[in-house]
Amino acid sequence: MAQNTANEPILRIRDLSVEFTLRQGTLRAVDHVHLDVLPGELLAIVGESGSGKSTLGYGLVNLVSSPGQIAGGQVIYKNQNVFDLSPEALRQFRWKEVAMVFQAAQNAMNPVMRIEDQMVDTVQDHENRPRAEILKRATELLKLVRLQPEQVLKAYPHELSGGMRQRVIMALSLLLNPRVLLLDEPTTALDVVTQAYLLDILLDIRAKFGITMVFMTHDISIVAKVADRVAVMYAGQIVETGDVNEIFYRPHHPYTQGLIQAAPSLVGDLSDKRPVPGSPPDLFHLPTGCRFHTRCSYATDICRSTQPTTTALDGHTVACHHWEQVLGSNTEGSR
Amino acid sequence: MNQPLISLRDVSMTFRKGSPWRRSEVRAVDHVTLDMDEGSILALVGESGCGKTTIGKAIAGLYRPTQGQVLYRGKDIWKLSKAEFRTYRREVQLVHQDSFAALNPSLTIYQSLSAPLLQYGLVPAGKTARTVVGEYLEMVELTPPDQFLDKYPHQLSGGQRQRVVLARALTVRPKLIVADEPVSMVDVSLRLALLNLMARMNKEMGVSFAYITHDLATARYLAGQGQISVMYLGEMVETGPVGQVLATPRHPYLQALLSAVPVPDPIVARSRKMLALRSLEMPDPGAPPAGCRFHPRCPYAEAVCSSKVPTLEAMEGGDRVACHLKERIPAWPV
Ligand SMILES: Nc1ncnc2c1ncn2[C@@H]1O[C@H](COP(=O)(O)OP(=O)(O)OP(=O)(O)O)[C@@H](O)[C@H]1O
Ligand code: SF4
Ligand SMILES: [Mg+2]
Repeated sequence: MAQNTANEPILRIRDLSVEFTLRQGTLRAVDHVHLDVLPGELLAIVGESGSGKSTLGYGLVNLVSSPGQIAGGQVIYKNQNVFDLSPEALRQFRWKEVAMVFQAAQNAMNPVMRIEDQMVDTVQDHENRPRAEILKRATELLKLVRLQPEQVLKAYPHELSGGMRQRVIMALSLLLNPRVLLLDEPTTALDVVTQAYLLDILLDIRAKFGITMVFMTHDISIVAKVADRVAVMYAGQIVETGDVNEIFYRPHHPYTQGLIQAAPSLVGDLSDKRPVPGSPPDLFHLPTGCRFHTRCSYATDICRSTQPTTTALDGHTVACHHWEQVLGSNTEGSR
Repeated sequence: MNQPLISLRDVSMTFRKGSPWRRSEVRAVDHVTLDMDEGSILALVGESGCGKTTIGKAIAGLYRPTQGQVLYRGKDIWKLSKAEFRTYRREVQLVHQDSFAALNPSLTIYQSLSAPLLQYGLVPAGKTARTVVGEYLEMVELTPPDQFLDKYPHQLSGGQRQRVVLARALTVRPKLIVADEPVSMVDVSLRLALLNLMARMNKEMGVSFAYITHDLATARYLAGQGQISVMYLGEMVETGPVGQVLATPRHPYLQALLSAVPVPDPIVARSRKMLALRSLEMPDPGAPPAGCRFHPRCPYAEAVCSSKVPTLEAMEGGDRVACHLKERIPAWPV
């Protein structure tokens, strides 16, 4: 479960900013993000729609495309800045080191190609390996994601259900034995039961291959189930990171606390549920000071005038002027 | 007992699909019966394709069932006089998930909300339509109203737009709002506030809600004291008081669904066991399995399940379950 924090990070995101240049002006979707991904962990990045999770994911693998661009910072993998890699090195990096399952990836499959041919093509784009060997590996992986290989390999994407396609994509992303898997809302379009199975499968894969996973989602309940560590994103910034139990039982940031208190649940008392007031800000018209101050019940003058810096605590980081007060407000004995 | 506000009597709805030379039929809703009392909340829950939206549209009079009856205050809505139908249409409003599609993008909020008021002559003497619209905006907590009256839909957040849609539904003084996934497109931090608003409309104004959702946690939150009906492939599999149905689910499908819902608490989430199904795949609604539609996926299925259709039968405590083995299904969670 929780990883030894003394481990060297496998990915280091340093001061990463990503901007989109649009007609209305320039919008900074990812703002000075500083984040380590530890080997073998499942790191969840949680935030609302538009908070910048996907953009951060694209940034991590240098796949931001126009009108977006990397506006600063580094992503360090094996002592190299990903942004300095040659096009060929980058191509290898993308599938063999860090593979991605992007939001709505199921719609990105080639509709006129059988699954087996997509599998073979994907591998042969990167490595010269015989077809039979690739299909053998594909068969193993499809079994792992609980699909019937004989049936699925011969199928075209449209012959599979959404849940099946999503599992095919997952198998596809593992073909080249990546060390890190980026998953952007991999279950959002799926039914509840299918989603639960997919999360189970993910945890299996991780246990089996010890693969590092970065999981982006808006759903705090999914985070509770799968994450070792959590990074909370708000309006392009990481506002808090910590071990999953710390985040849920001892949140240090008002937004994290708000998200948890506002999550309807099937279990427990609902009388202490509280909505988060207001709405997420428009990135073109950001509030001054702390971006959350317009919705924050802890806000004071300093919050309205000055952006909080990030405080690093033991295994925990938080960007809030009043984090000590927030921490103290977590109900005593709530685990 | 009082007369129910809305009743479905053995309602089925079949859609024709495909091209003229390759017709197929999908029975989206199969023999559904339900009652809603005035002032009540009913959560209609199920996964995509289970027929919940079709039921919502049948309740709102947008679909005419191919079989069975929809009764409004005891009268078949398809046999009402013109004037009665007009009243029914005003009193039963539909709100769906896409607030953007629901509002005309070229009209201001004031224009969108004043139209139904004027259409039904609901502006009291001595007040202007603008004042009345402003009052409705205050009811849905869009304050001060002056900040919103002259805005266009695209200038609002998703949560604010859904409030406008609810306010518009309120302008015609409805008795029942059919809310189909009203929060699913809204940012997570804003969902609870919208659910609270609907709960307030129910409590303070007596508006009934048919809350249609795939999300059991929000159903529990909104309809806590009300009723829940769980659908699978067009059929109702379990129905009863929310608290009881969710605490002691009897139907294996509902048990599986409940066991699959993630909960926002890591310790609880990791201790919950999933009820394993025999198959992950939802059957094609166009060719549903014979007998109990759930039998190919059900871990408890026996011979009778594949041959005979189970009907909803009352259990002790007031919930009704459609399962041949309902007395023998082990409790979940175990
Ligand atoms: N291709 C693009 N062109 C213009 N703006 C973009 C583009 N992609 C993202 N943005 C903007 O960047 C911001 C962050 O978006 P992003 O998609 O990264 O958020 P997200 O957290 O992944 O949201 P969601 O939960 O909806 O997937 C948003 O304001 C969005 O409108
Ligand atoms: S810095 Fe101030 S406004 Fe921002 S989250 Fe902390 S207390 Fe709230
Ligand atoms: Mg995204």
